[in-house]
Amino acid sequence: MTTIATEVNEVEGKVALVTGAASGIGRAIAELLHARGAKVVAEDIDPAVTELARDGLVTLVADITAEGTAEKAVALALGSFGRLDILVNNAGRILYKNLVDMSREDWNWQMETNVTGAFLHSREAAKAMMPNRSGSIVNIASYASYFAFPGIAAYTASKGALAQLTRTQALEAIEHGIRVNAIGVGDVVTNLLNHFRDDGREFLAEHGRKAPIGRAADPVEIAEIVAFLASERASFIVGSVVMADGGMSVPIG
Amino acid sequence: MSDEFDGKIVLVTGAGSGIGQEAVRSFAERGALVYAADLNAKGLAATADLVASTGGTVRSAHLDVADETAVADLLARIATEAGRLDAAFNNAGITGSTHLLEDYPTEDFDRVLRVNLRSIFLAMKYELRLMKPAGSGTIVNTASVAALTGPGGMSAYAASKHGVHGLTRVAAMENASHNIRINALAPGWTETPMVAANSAQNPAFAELARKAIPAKRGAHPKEIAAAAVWLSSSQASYVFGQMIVVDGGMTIGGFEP
Ligand SMILES: NC(=O)c1ccc[n+]([C@@H]2O[C@H](COP(=O)([O-])OP(=O)(O)OC[C@H]3O[C@@H](n4cnc5c(N)ncnc54)[C@H](O)[C@@H]3O)[C@@H](O)[C@H]2O)c1
Repeated sequence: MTTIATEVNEVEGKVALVTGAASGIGRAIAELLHARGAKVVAEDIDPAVTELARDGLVTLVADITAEGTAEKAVALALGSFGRLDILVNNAGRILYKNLVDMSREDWNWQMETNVTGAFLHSREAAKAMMPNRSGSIVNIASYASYFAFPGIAAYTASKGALAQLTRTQALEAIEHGIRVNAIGVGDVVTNLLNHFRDDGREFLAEHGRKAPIGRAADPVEIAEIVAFLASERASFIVGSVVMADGGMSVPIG
Repeated sequence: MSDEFDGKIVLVTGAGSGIGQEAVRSFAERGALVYAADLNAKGLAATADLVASTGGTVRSAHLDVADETAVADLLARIATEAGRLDAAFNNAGITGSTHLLEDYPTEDFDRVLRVNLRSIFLAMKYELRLMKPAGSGTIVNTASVAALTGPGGMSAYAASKHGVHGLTRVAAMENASHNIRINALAPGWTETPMVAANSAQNPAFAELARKAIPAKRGAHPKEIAAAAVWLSSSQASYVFGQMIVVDGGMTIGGFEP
Protein backbone atom coordinates (compact mmCIF):
# COMPACT_ATOMS: atom_id res chain seq x y z
CA MET A 1 0.00 0.00 0.00
CA THR A 2 1.08 3.53 -0.75
CA THR A 3 2.29 5.58 2.15
CA ILE A 4 -0.19 8.32 2.92
CA ALA A 5 0.05 11.35 5.12
CA THR A 6 -2.09 9.78 7.81
CA GLU A 7 0.88 7.77 9.03
CA VAL A 8 0.95 7.72 12.79
CA ASN A 9 4.52 8.97 12.83
CA GLU A 10 3.77 11.98 10.66
CA VAL A 11 5.39 14.40 13.13
CA GLU A 12 8.51 12.23 13.29
CA GLY A 13 11.58 14.43 13.42
CA LYS A 14 9.57 17.62 14.04
CA VAL A 15 10.30 19.76 17.07
CA ALA A 16 7.40 21.10 19.12
CA LEU A 17 7.13 23.64 21.94
CA VAL A 18 4.05 23.22 24.14
CA THR A 19 3.14 25.70 26.88
CA GLY A 20 1.10 24.76 29.93
CA ALA A 21 2.29 21.18 29.53
CA ALA A 22 2.19 20.13 33.18
CA SER A 23 -1.50 19.41 33.23
CA GLY A 24 -4.68 18.80 31.28
CA ILE A 25 -4.80 19.55 27.58
CA GLY A 26 -1.17 20.70 27.35
CA ARG A 27 0.11 17.53 28.92
CA ALA A 28 -1.95 15.41 26.52
CA ILE A 29 -0.59 17.43 23.58
CA ALA A 30 3.03 17.06 24.70
CA GLU A 31 2.60 13.33 25.24
CA LEU A 32 0.75 12.70 21.97
CA LEU A 33 3.22 14.65 19.83
CA HIS A 34 6.10 12.86 21.54
CA ALA A 35 4.45 9.47 21.07
CA ARG A 36 4.03 10.27 17.36
CA GLY A 37 7.75 10.89 16.99
CA ALA A 38 8.19 14.60 17.67
CA LYS A 39 10.84 16.07 19.91
CA VAL A 40 9.16 18.22 22.53
CA VAL A 41 9.93 21.17 24.77
CA ALA A 42 7.31 21.07 27.54
CA GLU A 43 6.94 24.39 29.37
CA ASP A 44 4.93 25.24 32.47
CA ILE A 45 5.01 27.54 35.49
CA ASP A 46 4.30 24.44 37.58
CA PRO A 47 7.51 22.48 38.40
CA ALA A 48 5.47 19.28 38.02
CA VAL A 49 6.19 19.62 34.29
CA THR A 50 9.66 18.17 34.96
CA GLU A 51 8.04 14.76 35.58
CA LEU A 52 7.43 14.57 31.83
CA ALA A 53 11.14 14.62 30.98
CA ARG A 54 12.26 11.65 28.90
CA ASP A 55 14.29 10.88 25.83
CA GLY A 56 13.28 13.47 23.23
CA LEU A 57 11.35 15.63 25.70
CA VAL A 58 12.94 18.43 27.69
CA THR A 59 11.14 20.64 30.16
CA LEU A 60 11.22 24.30 31.10
CA VAL A 61 9.79 25.68 34.33
CA ALA A 62 8.83 29.27 33.54
CA ASP A 63 6.02 31.82 33.52
CA ILE A 64 4.95 32.38 29.90
CA THR A 65 4.25 36.03 30.66
CA ALA A 66 7.64 36.83 32.16
CA GLU A 67 10.09 38.90 30.15
CA GLY A 68 12.51 36.60 28.34
CA THR A 69 10.61 33.33 28.81
CA ALA A 70 9.58 32.99 25.17
CA GLU A 71 13.14 33.67 24.02
CA LYS A 72 14.43 31.09 26.50
CA ALA A 73 11.88 28.47 25.39
CA VAL A 74 12.69 28.87 21.71
CA ALA A 75 16.42 28.81 22.45
CA LEU A 76 15.91 25.58 24.38
CA ALA A 77 14.19 23.98 21.38
CA LEU A 78 16.96 25.11 19.04
CA GLY A 79 19.70 24.14 21.50
CA SER A 80 18.26 20.73 22.35
CA PHE A 81 16.87 19.66 18.99
CA GLY A 82 18.27 22.05 16.39
CA ARG A 83 15.03 23.59 15.10
CA LEU A 84 11.42 24.50 15.86
CA ASP A 85 8.49 23.31 13.73
CA ILE A 86 5.45 23.46 15.99
CA LEU A 87 4.33 25.86 18.71
CA VAL A 88 1.25 25.14 20.79
CA ASN A 89 0.09 28.09 22.90
CA ASN A 90 -1.95 26.20 25.45
CA ALA A 91 -1.12 27.68 28.85
CA GLY A 92 -4.07 29.52 30.25
CA ARG A 93 -6.13 30.24 33.32
CA ILE A 94 -9.67 31.29 34.01
CA LEU A 95 -10.90 34.04 36.27
CA TYR A 96 -14.46 33.83 37.62
CA LYS A 97 -15.65 37.24 38.76
CA ASN A 98 -18.50 39.47 37.78
CA LEU A 99 -17.37 42.54 35.91
CA VAL A 100 -18.35 44.94 38.70
CA ASP A 101 -16.12 43.02 41.11
CA MET A 102 -13.12 42.79 38.80
CA SER A 103 -10.04 44.84 39.57
CA ARG A 104 -7.67 46.19 36.98
CA GLU A 105 -5.08 43.71 38.30
CA ASP A 106 -7.53 40.84 37.72
CA TRP A 107 -8.12 41.99 34.17
CA ASN A 108 -4.45 42.48 33.39
CA TRP A 109 -3.52 39.12 34.86
CA GLN A 110 -6.09 37.33 32.70
CA MET A 111 -4.99 39.14 29.55
CA GLU A 112 -1.29 38.60 30.28
CA THR A 113 -1.81 34.89 30.90
CA ASN A 114 -4.14 34.08 28.02
CA VAL A 115 -3.02 36.50 25.31
CA THR A 116 0.27 38.22 26.03
CA GLY A 117 2.09 34.94 26.72
CA ALA A 118 0.82 33.55 23.42
CA PHE A 119 1.79 36.73 21.59
CA LEU A 120 5.36 36.59 22.93
CA HIS A 121 5.79 32.89 22.17
CA SER A 122 4.27 33.28 18.69
CA ARG A 123 6.61 36.15 17.92
CA GLU A 124 9.74 34.30 18.98
CA ALA A 125 8.66 31.00 17.42
CA ALA A 126 7.84 32.64 14.09
CA LYS A 127 11.29 34.22 14.00
CA ALA A 128 12.85 30.78 14.48
CA MET A 129 10.58 29.17 11.87
CA MET A 130 10.92 31.81 9.15
CA PRO A 131 14.34 30.68 7.85
CA ASN A 132 12.89 27.17 7.33
CA ARG A 133 9.90 28.58 5.41
CA SER A 134 7.71 26.16 7.32
CA GLY A 135 6.10 25.73 10.68
CA SER A 136 2.78 25.46 12.41
CA ILE A 137 1.38 27.39 15.36
CA VAL A 138 -1.75 26.15 17.12
CA ASN A 139 -3.46 28.31 19.74
CA ILE A 140 -5.77 26.77 22.28
CA ALA A 141 -8.74 29.12 22.13
CA SER A 142 -12.21 28.34 23.37
CA TYR A 143 -15.86 28.44 22.45
CA ALA A 144 -15.63 31.47 24.74
CA SER A 145 -13.69 33.11 21.89
CA TYR A 146 -17.09 33.72 20.28
CA PHE A 147 -19.78 33.05 22.87
CA ALA A 148 -20.41 34.82 26.14
CA PHE A 149 -20.97 33.42 29.60
CA PRO A 150 -21.74 35.36 32.78
CA GLY A 151 -18.91 35.68 35.27
CA ILE A 152 -15.99 35.34 32.87
CA ALA A 153 -15.80 38.62 30.95
CA ALA A 154 -12.01 38.81 31.12
CA TYR A 155 -11.70 35.19 30.01
CA THR A 156 -14.04 35.56 27.01
CA ALA A 157 -12.27 38.81 26.07
CA SER A 158 -8.88 37.10 26.31
CA LYS A 159 -9.96 34.10 24.23
CA GLY A 160 -11.61 36.37 21.68
CA ALA A 161 -8.32 38.23 21.47
CA LEU A 162 -6.45 34.94 21.05
CA ALA A 163 -8.69 34.01 18.10
CA GLN A 164 -8.01 37.37 16.45
CA LEU A 165 -4.30 37.10 17.20
CA THR A 166 -4.46 33.74 15.42
CA ARG A 167 -6.18 35.11 12.35
CA THR A 168 -3.99 38.17 11.97
CA GLN A 169 -0.73 36.35 12.57
CA ALA A 170 -1.93 33.71 10.09
CA LEU A 171 -1.98 36.36 7.34
CA GLU A 172 1.47 37.63 8.20
CA ALA A 173 3.08 34.24 8.75
CA ILE A 174 1.76 32.40 5.69
CA GLU A 175 4.03 34.68 3.63
CA HIS A 176 6.83 32.73 5.27
CA GLY A 177 5.23 29.32 4.88
CA ILE A 178 4.08 29.21 8.50
CA ARG A 179 0.47 28.21 9.24
CA VAL A 180 -1.32 29.62 12.28
CA ASN A 181 -4.62 28.13 13.47
CA ALA A 182 -6.60 27.76 16.66
CA ILE A 183 -8.94 25.31 18.31
CA GLY A 184 -12.21 26.53 19.84
CA VAL A 185 -12.18 24.14 22.73
CA GLY A 186 -15.34 23.25 24.62
CA ASP A 187 -15.57 21.63 28.04
CA VAL A 188 -12.62 19.38 28.74
CA VAL A 189 -12.11 17.55 32.01
CA THR A 190 -8.93 19.14 33.39
CA ASN A 191 -7.71 20.99 36.48
CA LEU A 192 -8.55 24.39 34.93
CA LEU A 193 -11.08 25.32 37.62
CA ASN A 194 -9.30 23.68 40.56
CA HIS A 195 -7.76 26.94 41.79
CA PHE A 196 -11.17 28.20 42.90
CA ARG A 197 -13.25 25.08 43.36
CA ASP A 198 -12.27 21.62 44.62
CA ASP A 199 -14.81 19.90 42.42
CA GLY A 200 -13.44 21.55 39.24
CA ARG A 201 -13.15 18.31 37.31
CA GLU A 202 -16.62 17.11 38.29
CA PHE A 203 -18.02 20.53 37.40
CA LEU A 204 -16.49 20.41 33.91
CA ALA A 205 -17.70 16.84 33.37
CA GLU A 206 -21.20 17.83 34.48
CA HIS A 207 -21.26 21.04 32.40
CA GLY A 208 -20.11 19.04 29.36
CA ARG A 209 -23.26 16.92 29.56
CA LYS A 210 -25.15 19.96 28.26
CA ALA A 211 -23.28 19.75 24.95
CA PRO A 212 -25.31 18.07 22.19
CA ILE A 213 -22.74 15.28 22.16
CA GLY A 214 -23.67 14.69 25.81
CA ARG A 215 -20.27 14.71 27.45
CA ALA A 216 -17.17 16.78 28.08
CA ALA A 217 -14.02 15.99 26.12
CA ASP A 218 -11.01 14.03 27.19
CA PRO A 219 -7.80 16.09 26.76
CA VAL A 220 -6.51 13.62 24.17
CA GLU A 221 -9.40 14.54 21.85
CA ILE A 222 -8.03 18.08 21.73
CA ALA A 223 -4.47 16.80 21.35
CA GLU A 224 -5.56 14.85 18.24
CA ILE A 225 -6.77 18.09 16.64
CA VAL A 226 -3.41 19.71 17.37
CA ALA A 227 -1.65 16.73 15.76
CA PHE A 228 -3.85 17.13 12.68
CA LEU A 229 -3.41 20.90 12.38
CA ALA A 230 0.35 20.59 12.86
CA SER A 231 0.65 17.95 10.16
CA GLU A 232 0.96 18.12 6.39
CA ARG A 233 -2.63 16.91 6.18
CA ALA A 234 -3.66 20.43 7.17
CA SER A 235 -1.39 22.14 4.63
CA PHE A 236 -4.19 24.41 3.30
CA ILE A 237 -5.72 25.25 6.68
CA VAL A 238 -4.67 28.81 7.42
CA GLY A 239 -6.17 31.06 10.09
CA SER A 240 -8.99 28.67 10.91
CA VAL A 241 -10.51 28.29 14.33
CA VAL A 242 -11.54 24.65 14.45
CA MET A 243 -14.40 24.48 16.90
CA ALA A 244 -14.24 21.37 19.06
CA ASP A 245 -16.99 21.82 21.58
CA GLY A 246 -19.17 18.76 21.16
CA GLY A 247 -21.69 21.01 19.44
CA MET A 248 -22.12 23.36 22.43
CA SER A 249 -22.11 26.38 20.13
CA VAL A 250 -24.47 24.93 17.50
CA PRO A 251 -27.77 25.80 19.20
CA ILE A 252 -26.36 29.17 20.33
CA GLY A 253 -25.19 30.79 17.13
CA MET B 1 -0.90 -1.56 12.50
CA SER B 2 -4.62 -1.71 11.86
CA ASP B 3 -6.30 1.40 10.56
CA GLU B 4 -9.64 2.53 11.96
CA PHE B 5 -11.12 2.60 8.45
CA ASP B 6 -10.13 -1.00 7.82
CA GLY B 7 -13.31 -2.85 6.85
CA LYS B 8 -15.49 0.26 7.23
CA ILE B 9 -18.30 1.01 4.80
CA VAL B 10 -18.00 4.49 3.32
CA LEU B 11 -20.08 6.42 0.79
CA VAL B 12 -18.60 9.28 -1.21
CA THR B 13 -20.65 11.34 -3.67
CA GLY B 14 -19.11 13.44 -6.38
CA ALA B 15 -16.61 10.59 -6.46
CA GLY B 16 -15.74 10.87 -10.14
CA SER B 17 -13.50 13.88 -9.88
CA GLY B 18 -11.44 16.23 -7.75
CA ILE B 19 -12.05 16.22 -4.01
CA GLY B 20 -14.39 13.23 -4.05
CA GLN B 21 -12.00 11.14 -6.09
CA GLU B 22 -9.14 11.88 -3.70
CA ALA B 23 -11.36 11.05 -0.72
CA VAL B 24 -12.31 7.70 -2.27
CA ARG B 25 -8.65 6.97 -2.86
CA SER B 26 -7.72 7.85 0.72
CA PHE B 27 -10.58 5.91 2.38
CA ALA B 28 -9.83 2.89 0.16
CA GLU B 29 -6.10 3.06 0.88
CA ARG B 30 -6.96 2.88 4.54
CA GLY B 31 -8.91 -0.30 4.04
CA ALA B 32 -12.50 0.89 3.68
CA LEU B 33 -15.02 -0.52 1.23
CA VAL B 34 -16.05 2.63 -0.62
CA TYR B 35 -19.26 3.23 -2.53
CA ALA B 36 -18.38 5.88 -5.08
CA ALA B 37 -21.35 7.77 -6.51
CA ASP B 38 -21.35 10.21 -9.41
CA LEU B 39 -23.33 11.25 -12.46
CA ASN B 40 -20.17 11.10 -14.55
CA ALA B 41 -19.60 7.46 -15.58
CA LYS B 42 -16.20 8.18 -17.11
CA GLY B 43 -15.00 9.85 -13.90
CA LEU B 44 -16.27 6.93 -11.85
CA ALA B 45 -14.33 4.53 -14.04
CA ALA B 46 -11.19 6.63 -13.55
CA THR B 47 -11.73 6.57 -9.79
CA ALA B 48 -12.18 2.79 -9.85
CA ASP B 49 -8.95 2.40 -11.85
CA LEU B 50 -7.10 4.62 -9.42
CA VAL B 51 -8.27 2.57 -6.46
CA ALA B 52 -7.62 -0.74 -8.20
CA SER B 53 -4.01 0.29 -8.80
CA THR B 54 -3.50 0.60 -5.03
CA GLY B 55 -5.36 -2.61 -4.18
CA GLY B 56 -8.41 -0.99 -2.53
CA THR B 57 -12.07 -1.84 -2.90
CA VAL B 58 -14.56 0.46 -4.56
CA ARG B 59 -18.11 -0.08 -5.81
CA SER B 60 -19.35 2.43 -8.32
CA ALA B 61 -22.83 3.90 -8.32
CA HIS B 62 -23.77 5.86 -11.41
CA LEU B 63 -26.56 8.20 -10.40
CA ASP B 64 -27.94 11.72 -10.08
CA VAL B 65 -27.55 12.68 -6.41
CA ALA B 66 -30.62 14.94 -6.63
CA ASP B 67 -32.86 12.09 -7.77
CA GLU B 68 -34.67 10.78 -4.71
CA THR B 69 -35.37 7.32 -6.10
CA ALA B 70 -31.77 6.87 -7.19
CA VAL B 71 -30.45 7.91 -3.77
CA ALA B 72 -32.93 5.69 -1.93
CA ASP B 73 -31.96 2.79 -4.21
CA LEU B 74 -28.26 3.30 -3.56
CA LEU B 75 -28.73 3.28 0.21
CA ALA B 76 -30.93 0.20 -0.12
CA ARG B 77 -28.16 -1.45 -2.13
CA ILE B 78 -25.59 -0.56 0.55
CA ALA B 79 -27.93 -1.98 3.22
CA THR B 80 -28.30 -5.23 1.29
CA GLU B 81 -24.68 -5.67 0.28
CA ALA B 82 -22.84 -4.26 3.30
CA GLY B 83 -25.49 -4.19 6.00
CA ARG B 84 -24.43 -0.81 7.34
CA LEU B 85 -22.88 2.58 6.57
CA ASP B 86 -20.10 3.91 8.79
CA ALA B 87 -19.18 7.15 7.06
CA ALA B 88 -20.64 9.33 4.35
CA PHE B 89 -18.97 12.19 2.52
CA ASN B 90 -21.69 14.07 0.64
CA ASN B 91 -19.62 16.06 -1.74
CA ALA B 92 -21.24 16.31 -5.19
CA GLY B 93 -21.87 19.83 -6.36
CA ILE B 94 -21.78 22.29 -9.24
CA THR B 95 -20.91 25.96 -9.52
CA GLY B 96 -23.68 26.99 -11.89
CA SER B 97 -23.63 29.94 -14.23
CA THR B 98 -22.55 33.44 -13.28
CA HIS B 99 -25.05 36.30 -13.65
CA LEU B 100 -26.24 39.24 -11.64
CA LEU B 101 -29.20 38.24 -9.52
CA GLU B 102 -31.74 40.17 -11.61
CA ASP B 103 -30.48 38.32 -14.69
CA TYR B 104 -30.02 34.90 -13.10
CA PRO B 105 -31.93 32.32 -15.15
CA THR B 106 -34.46 30.78 -12.80
CA GLU B 107 -33.93 27.31 -14.26
CA ASP B 108 -30.19 27.62 -13.51
CA PHE B 109 -30.99 28.69 -9.97
CA ASP B 110 -33.26 25.69 -9.49
CA ARG B 111 -30.67 23.34 -10.95
CA VAL B 112 -27.88 24.55 -8.62
CA LEU B 113 -30.13 24.31 -5.58
CA ARG B 114 -31.19 20.85 -6.69
CA VAL B 115 -27.68 19.48 -7.20
CA ASN B 116 -26.03 21.24 -4.23
CA LEU B 117 -28.71 21.38 -1.56
CA ARG B 118 -31.50 18.93 -2.31
CA SER B 119 -28.80 16.28 -2.86
CA ILE B 120 -27.38 16.78 0.63
CA PHE B 121 -30.87 16.66 2.11
CA LEU B 122 -31.65 13.44 0.25
CA ALA B 123 -28.30 11.84 1.03
CA MET B 124 -28.65 12.50 4.76
CA LYS B 125 -32.32 11.49 4.75
CA TYR B 126 -31.46 7.98 3.56
CA GLU B 127 -28.03 7.69 5.23
CA LEU B 128 -29.55 8.47 8.62
CA ARG B 129 -32.08 5.70 8.19
CA LEU B 130 -29.14 3.29 8.00
CA MET B 131 -26.99 4.91 10.67
CA LYS B 132 -29.62 5.55 13.32
CA PRO B 133 -30.56 1.92 13.97
CA ALA B 134 -26.86 1.03 14.04
CA GLY B 135 -26.29 3.73 16.64
CA SER B 136 -23.19 5.14 15.00
CA GLY B 137 -21.89 6.96 11.97
CA THR B 138 -20.23 10.10 10.67
CA ILE B 139 -21.33 12.45 7.91
CA VAL B 140 -19.33 15.20 6.25
CA ASN B 141 -21.07 17.58 3.83
CA THR B 142 -19.11 19.71 1.41
CA ALA B 143 -20.13 23.34 1.69
CA SER B 144 -17.76 26.06 0.51
CA VAL B 145 -16.31 29.38 1.57
CA ALA B 146 -19.38 30.61 -0.33
CA ALA B 147 -21.31 29.43 2.74
CA LEU B 148 -19.67 32.37 4.54
CA THR B 149 -19.34 34.98 1.82
CA GLY B 150 -21.34 36.67 -0.92
CA PRO B 151 -19.50 36.03 -4.17
CA GLY B 152 -20.90 38.37 -6.84
CA GLY B 153 -22.72 36.68 -9.68
CA MET B 154 -23.06 33.42 -7.78
CA SER B 155 -26.36 33.84 -5.97
CA ALA B 156 -27.47 30.24 -6.54
CA TYR B 157 -24.16 28.75 -5.49
CA ALA B 158 -23.83 30.88 -2.34
CA ALA B 159 -27.45 30.26 -1.34
CA SER B 160 -27.06 26.51 -1.83
CA LYS B 161 -23.85 26.38 0.21
CA HIS B 162 -25.30 28.53 3.02
CA GLY B 163 -28.09 25.98 2.95
CA VAL B 164 -25.67 23.07 3.30
CA HIS B 165 -24.31 24.69 6.45
CA GLY B 166 -27.81 25.04 7.89
CA LEU B 167 -28.79 21.48 7.02
CA THR B 168 -25.59 20.21 8.59
CA ARG B 169 -26.27 22.00 11.85
CA VAL B 170 -29.86 20.81 12.08
CA ALA B 171 -28.90 17.24 11.23
CA ALA B 172 -26.12 17.34 13.84
CA MET B 173 -28.50 18.55 16.55
CA GLU B 174 -31.20 16.04 15.67
CA ASN B 175 -28.79 13.12 15.78
CA ALA B 176 -26.65 14.14 18.73
CA SER B 177 -28.06 11.44 20.97
CA HIS B 178 -27.66 8.74 18.31
CA ASN B 179 -23.87 8.81 18.24
CA ILE B 180 -23.88 10.20 14.71
CA ARG B 181 -21.36 12.99 14.20
CA ILE B 182 -22.20 15.41 11.39
CA ASN B 183 -19.99 18.25 10.17
CA ALA B 184 -19.45 20.37 7.08
CA LEU B 185 -16.33 21.23 5.18
CA ALA B 186 -15.75 24.63 3.57
CA PRO B 187 -13.08 24.39 0.90
CA GLY B 188 -11.70 27.51 -0.66
CA TRP B 189 -10.37 27.74 -4.22
CA THR B 190 -9.46 24.17 -5.07
CA GLU B 191 -7.68 23.24 -8.29
CA THR B 192 -9.94 20.38 -9.29
CA PRO B 193 -9.96 19.37 -12.97
CA MET B 194 -13.02 21.61 -13.48
CA VAL B 195 -11.31 24.68 -12.01
CA ALA B 196 -8.05 23.85 -13.76
CA ALA B 197 -9.84 23.76 -17.12
CA ASN B 198 -11.47 27.13 -16.43
CA SER B 199 -8.12 28.56 -15.33
CA ALA B 200 -6.44 27.40 -18.51
CA GLN B 201 -9.10 29.25 -20.50
CA ASN B 202 -8.89 32.34 -18.36
CA PRO B 203 -5.36 32.54 -16.95
CA ALA B 204 -5.69 36.19 -15.93
CA PHE B 205 -8.65 35.41 -13.71
CA ALA B 206 -6.88 32.38 -12.22
CA GLU B 207 -3.84 34.54 -11.49
CA LEU B 208 -6.02 37.10 -9.71
CA ALA B 209 -7.82 34.42 -7.73
CA ARG B 210 -4.57 32.88 -6.53
CA LYS B 211 -3.21 36.31 -5.57
CA ALA B 212 -6.30 36.96 -3.43
CA ILE B 213 -5.55 33.89 -1.33
CA PRO B 214 -3.11 34.50 1.53
CA ALA B 215 -1.44 31.16 0.73
CA LYS B 216 -0.96 32.50 -2.85
CA ARG B 217 -2.20 29.28 -4.42
CA GLY B 218 -5.25 27.11 -4.74
CA ALA B 219 -5.65 23.87 -2.84
CA HIS B 220 -4.81 20.51 -4.29
CA PRO B 221 -7.93 18.32 -4.05
CA LYS B 222 -5.91 16.03 -1.76
CA GLU B 223 -5.66 18.77 0.84
CA ILE B 224 -9.45 19.05 1.03
CA ALA B 225 -9.96 15.29 0.97
CA ALA B 226 -7.51 14.96 3.87
CA ALA B 227 -9.74 17.21 5.97
CA ALA B 228 -12.84 15.19 5.02
CA VAL B 229 -11.17 11.93 5.99
CA TRP B 230 -9.92 13.46 9.22
CA LEU B 231 -13.39 14.78 10.10
CA SER B 232 -14.76 11.27 9.46
CA SER B 233 -12.21 9.73 11.79
CA SER B 234 -12.20 9.26 15.55
CA GLN B 235 -9.41 11.86 15.69
CA ALA B 236 -12.17 14.46 15.29
CA SER B 237 -14.40 12.88 17.92
CA TYR B 238 -15.26 16.15 19.69
CA VAL B 239 -15.84 18.16 16.49
CA PHE B 240 -19.60 18.25 16.19
CA GLY B 241 -22.00 20.29 14.06
CA GLN B 242 -19.19 22.49 12.80
CA MET B 243 -18.00 23.74 9.45
CA ILE B 244 -14.24 23.40 9.03
CA VAL B 245 -12.73 26.02 6.75
CA VAL B 246 -9.88 24.84 4.50
CA ASP B 247 -9.16 27.86 2.34
CA GLY B 248 -5.54 28.98 2.60
CA GLY B 249 -6.70 31.95 4.65
CA MET B 250 -9.13 33.36 2.06
CA THR B 251 -11.88 34.26 4.54
CA ILE B 252 -9.76 35.69 7.35
CA GLY B 253 -9.78 39.27 6.15
CA GLY B 254 -6.53 40.12 4.52
CA PHE B 255 -7.17 43.57 3.06
CA GLU B 256 -3.87 45.27 2.47
CA PRO B 257 -3.40 48.34 4.70
N1 LIG C 1 -10.78 22.66 30.27
C1 LIG C 1 -11.65 23.32 29.54
O1 LIG C 1 -12.86 23.06 29.63
C2 LIG C 1 -11.19 24.35 28.56
C3 LIG C 1 -12.15 24.93 27.69
C4 LIG C 1 -11.73 25.89 26.76
C5 LIG C 1 -10.40 26.26 26.72
N2 LIG C 1 -9.50 25.70 27.57
C6 LIG C 1 -8.10 26.17 27.51
O2 LIG C 1 -7.21 25.09 27.47
C7 LIG C 1 -5.92 25.53 27.94
C8 LIG C 1 -5.35 24.47 28.87
O3 LIG C 1 -6.10 24.41 30.06
P1 LIG C 1 -6.50 23.05 30.80
O4 LIG C 1 -7.95 22.93 30.69
O5 LIG C 1 -5.65 21.97 30.35
O6 LIG C 1 -6.21 23.47 32.32
P2 LIG C 1 -5.08 23.00 33.35
O7 LIG C 1 -5.21 23.95 34.47
O8 LIG C 1 -5.21 21.55 33.63
O9 LIG C 1 -3.72 23.28 32.56
C9 LIG C 1 -3.24 24.58 32.30
C10 LIG C 1 -1.74 24.60 32.47
O10 LIG C 1 -1.24 25.91 32.12
C11 LIG C 1 -0.23 26.26 33.05
N3 LIG C 1 -0.06 27.71 33.13
C12 LIG C 1 -0.98 28.62 33.53
N4 LIG C 1 -0.45 29.86 33.56
C13 LIG C 1 0.84 29.75 33.16
C14 LIG C 1 1.89 30.67 32.96
N5 LIG C 1 1.75 31.99 33.25
N6 LIG C 1 3.08 30.20 32.52
C15 LIG C 1 3.25 28.88 32.26
N7 LIG C 1 2.28 27.98 32.42
C16 LIG C 1 1.09 28.39 32.87
C17 LIG C 1 -0.74 25.68 34.36
O11 LIG C 1 0.29 25.55 35.33
C18 LIG C 1 -1.31 24.33 33.92
O12 LIG C 1 -0.33 23.31 33.96
C19 LIG C 1 -6.15 26.90 28.58
O13 LIG C 1 -5.70 27.90 27.68
C20 LIG C 1 -7.65 26.96 28.72
O14 LIG C 1 -8.12 28.28 28.71
C21 LIG C 1 -9.87 24.75 28.48
